[in-house]
Amino acid sequence: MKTLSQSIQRFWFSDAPAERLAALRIVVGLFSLGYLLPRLGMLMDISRQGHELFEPVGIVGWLENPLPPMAFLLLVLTTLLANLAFLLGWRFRLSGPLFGILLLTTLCYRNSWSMIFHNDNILVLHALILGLTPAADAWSLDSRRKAPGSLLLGPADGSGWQYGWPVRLMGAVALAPYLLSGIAKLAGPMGLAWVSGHVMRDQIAVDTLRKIVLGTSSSDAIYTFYHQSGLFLVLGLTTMIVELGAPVAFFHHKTRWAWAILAFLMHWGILFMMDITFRYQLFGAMFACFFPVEHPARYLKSWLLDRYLNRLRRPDRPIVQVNQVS
Amino acid sequence: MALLALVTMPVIENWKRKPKDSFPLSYYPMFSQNRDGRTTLTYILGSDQAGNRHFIPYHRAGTGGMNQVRKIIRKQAEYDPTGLCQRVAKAVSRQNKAPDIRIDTVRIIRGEFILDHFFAGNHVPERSEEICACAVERKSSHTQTDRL
Repeated sequence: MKTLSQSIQRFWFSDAPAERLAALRIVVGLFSLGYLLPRLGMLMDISRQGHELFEPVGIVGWLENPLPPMAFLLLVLTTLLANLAFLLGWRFRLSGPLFGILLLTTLCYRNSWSMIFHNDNILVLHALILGLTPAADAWSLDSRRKAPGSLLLGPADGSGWQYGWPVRLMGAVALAPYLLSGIAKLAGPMGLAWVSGHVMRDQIAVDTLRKIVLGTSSSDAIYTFYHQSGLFLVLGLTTMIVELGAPVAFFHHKTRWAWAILAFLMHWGILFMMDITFRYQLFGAMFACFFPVEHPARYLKSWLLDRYLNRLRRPDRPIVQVNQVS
Repeated sequence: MALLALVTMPVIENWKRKPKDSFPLSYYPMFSQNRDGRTTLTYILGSDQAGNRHFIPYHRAGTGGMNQVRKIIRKQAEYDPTGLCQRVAKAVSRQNKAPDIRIDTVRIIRGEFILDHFFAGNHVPERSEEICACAVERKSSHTQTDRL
């Protein structure tokens, strides 16, 4: 019993460098900024819809009526400012939790208009975890303030369990929806027969049909593969392995990597077959927490420093020695 | 641990008589439904004087992504089909490109499609019900010129 408890403790509270959590903060911060900014107009249009379409969910579930559009605009703009502070790691003790809560509120409100977009779930949970943990101890304005004269992306030699457990938690939170999806399929009307593939084929076909009838772009792949029952059997089995196998894969780094690659490919497969864009997954941002993401970030940092900062420091003109004139 | 428990808690919705989905905590019910080779959809159909049918794009009916507007169309077809139909007809009348420019009638339809038939090229539903129909009223070019 003691050994099991020690193993669990070793697993959950293993050391990680501060830069790993910082790199994840930058990945999530960049992704959410790139996600929210281009949707500003669409978010405003949604908030101007009739109250009869308003079905509040999550932490805005207590609202009886929609917010005035100006109030929602203020909320989105504040979220964007907090997003920037989160990304730069500025006053993180305040901006970190604030961004997590604001992003949760904004996306709950966005999902309160008759349709829940499940592709935003993990992004929100990751932002909350990072916002409440020391994710700005490296590569941030805060860390630069603590070490005056250092660069924004300067070296950070700290490591410890306090940087390790949030990464583990991000991984677990990323895996959970896949497990829940697998359970929902088994608990559904088809049960284990779901793996036969025809339910999946019908789901893809229905999605394509809706897109055609409602006049939007769709993948034509289903026309090619509609009668390929063997292919859908393989896809059904693979989906179940990815979903139900998620918690098993979690406990070893090699299986975690294999799972992440398989799940990443699954989302690209969904894009190909259904033209559905799970952006957080497709960009690989969701899977970053499964890898030592500080290594590519360090490489990118040294490349950037080499290319831009050192060039600025290097004098363009040759130094001409001027003899002192007495 | 508390966060993990919270994230996995919605699993109990699978066994509730009336399961309720939420955000960001969900039980992820999509893809678990058995479609049984058919689907019912509320959609908007336009027709021209020659009797040609045109599926009207979802964005003439509302704001948001396709799936969000699909649900909005279904809801509005229940409580205000005339309002929905007139709004779409007005949006169609503002277009000056084909096929919208040829459409003279807009219909709100609830139709049941058979997947095998649809993907064999037959885009006509097996069963359908016309919920509402309205004419597309266009300002004459003379009036538009007057305004200019």
